[in-house]
Amino acid sequence: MLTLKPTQTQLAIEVSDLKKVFRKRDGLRAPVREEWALKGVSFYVREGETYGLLGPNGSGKSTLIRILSTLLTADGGTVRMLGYRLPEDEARLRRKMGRVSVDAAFYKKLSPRENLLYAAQLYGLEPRQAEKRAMQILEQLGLESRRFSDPIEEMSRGMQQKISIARALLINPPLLLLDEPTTGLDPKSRRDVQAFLEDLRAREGTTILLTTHDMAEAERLAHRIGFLAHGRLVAEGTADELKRRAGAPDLEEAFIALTGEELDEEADSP
Amino acid sequence: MNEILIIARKELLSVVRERRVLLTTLLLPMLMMPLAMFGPLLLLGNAARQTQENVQQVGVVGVPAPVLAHLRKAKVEPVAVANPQEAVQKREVAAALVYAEGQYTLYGRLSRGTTQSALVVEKVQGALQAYKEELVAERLRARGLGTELLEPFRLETKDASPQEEQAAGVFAFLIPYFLVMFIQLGGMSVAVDATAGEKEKGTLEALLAAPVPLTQVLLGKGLAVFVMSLLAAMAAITGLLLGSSVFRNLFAVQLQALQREDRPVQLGGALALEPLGYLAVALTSVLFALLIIAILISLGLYARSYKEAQSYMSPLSLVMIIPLLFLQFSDFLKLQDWYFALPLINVLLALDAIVRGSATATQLGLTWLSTLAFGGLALYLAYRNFQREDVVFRN
Repeated sequence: MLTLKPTQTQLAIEVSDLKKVFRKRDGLRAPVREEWALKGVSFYVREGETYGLLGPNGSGKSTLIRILSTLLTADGGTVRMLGYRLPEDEARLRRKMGRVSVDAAFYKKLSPRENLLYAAQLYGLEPRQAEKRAMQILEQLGLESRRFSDPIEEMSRGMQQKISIARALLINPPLLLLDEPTTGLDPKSRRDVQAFLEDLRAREGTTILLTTHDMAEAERLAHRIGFLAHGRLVAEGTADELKRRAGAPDLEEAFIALTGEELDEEADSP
Repeated sequence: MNEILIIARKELLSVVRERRVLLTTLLLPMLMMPLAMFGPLLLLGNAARQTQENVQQVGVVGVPAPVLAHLRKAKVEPVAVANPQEAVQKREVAAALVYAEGQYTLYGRLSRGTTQSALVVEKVQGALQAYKEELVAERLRARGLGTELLEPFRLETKDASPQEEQAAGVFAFLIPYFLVMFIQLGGMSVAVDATAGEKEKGTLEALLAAPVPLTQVLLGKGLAVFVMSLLAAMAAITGLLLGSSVFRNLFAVQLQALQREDRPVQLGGALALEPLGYLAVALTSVLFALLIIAILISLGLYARSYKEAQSYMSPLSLVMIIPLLFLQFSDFLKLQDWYFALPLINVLLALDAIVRGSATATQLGLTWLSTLAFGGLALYLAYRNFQREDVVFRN
């Protein structure tokens, strides 16, 4: 079981009664329909802790990550991260957070080097220093340096996701938001990424909020896990606590027993 | 300011990597402008010259021998036909001439304007006119009179339009349309890529999560679109200036074949302005580019994908055709000053007036101020769109 060091007791993320509604209209004359993506989610993550959020498609994981990464504004509840409140302190918070999304989004005609330097400049980093750090991270992730100048569109999904992680780590953030970072990766790339995250946590003490479909990944990386279903946090605890509470032999059975849902690994997240 | 330049530089770098975009944005306007202004004319000029030089068959029914001789002299070969109208319709002959009871009837395919048949009809008319003048001169001579009796005075028509308008040529009314079209098309590919393209690739979220104020993101993207729009406009003007000089020198003979002897005009379309005129064209283009980039970015941001963005933006080119039709007949209308406050129409009217050398300070002032105001408003709306979750995350 993963445990935290005694000194790591400060809270890095405090989410309380978080709500988000999307208003949609199916046609010009149709009435506005409300879809609640988050219906009052509360949880906390300690400094240096890795918190795994498990949930099927449509459970609200990506919406939650988008709110925490300041892209969406919540319709209710409070968020405090690294001592800053959202949305009031979003400009300051953005400089302290790294984010990796499920789709490894890049400017595909540009090389990894150009993509990373662009991101670094947006975060106000000095280009030479940013380049050095980017190259270090990419090498740690097992990317050959001769590929740094190839267009990203010529690279595999696994390589692209590694570059995406390197981009999130350019600013050496104390907080990392990972939205299904290993979905769609081959087993080797998946293991590389997981090993890198473990190493990062050990070296830097980075706080990580991780959403995933992969039970084994959650069990390997997360100190604590929250089960999200239909916009509500149904259960949380360590992997062992959740299994014990559900009386289930593994995490997947525990998830099914506690949420009444099954995880669908193939479909896209909302 | 630094972030604006960083974002604009990245957008332009993406464009530079897409050679196809560079070709369509920069090379196409440079080639298209002179080709559009002179290409069809040269084809027509060449066809007209060949029609003049070669011999065509003309159907004849009951045409007297002296007229047949005149027809042959005008490089037309008379052939007997049973049904003149049908022979022309079936293209057995280029034209047909029938004589009955002192009346000549000439058949040709005239509905499509300048066709080969229409040019042969002119040749036959010329032959008949020569024969008519010969007969008149003969009859006057028989009465002891000279042909000067028919010409009590001489008439000379002179073109009094401004120098710029004369040099611009008869197709000059198309220049404003092409200019605004290339400003729009030049910016379109970057605008789509920088908005809907970023949404589709998923990179917009990473950009918006970066510690860069939204205004800087918008201005950075706007600057890239602006640069490409103006480069496209400059390419079009360069093509027009170089192309018109090359075409008018290299193909002078072919263009001459199209001239009307009684009223020679500068054919094709070209720019021949004073330095202040070029400055006015540049300022009008810059202000129009400001307006159009804000519209393009708003539309691109609303769209979910490249395809959707293109389907929103393409009709803009069609919308611009409507003022063009208006522009073609603008000389028949009394232009009111307030026309120059109407968005889009004002830019076309102002550019047309500059090209013709007839723009007034009021017209230009109204155009520039109103375009700046509309551009500012469109930019503000684009900024508001950028702030809206239901627009940015519309998928």
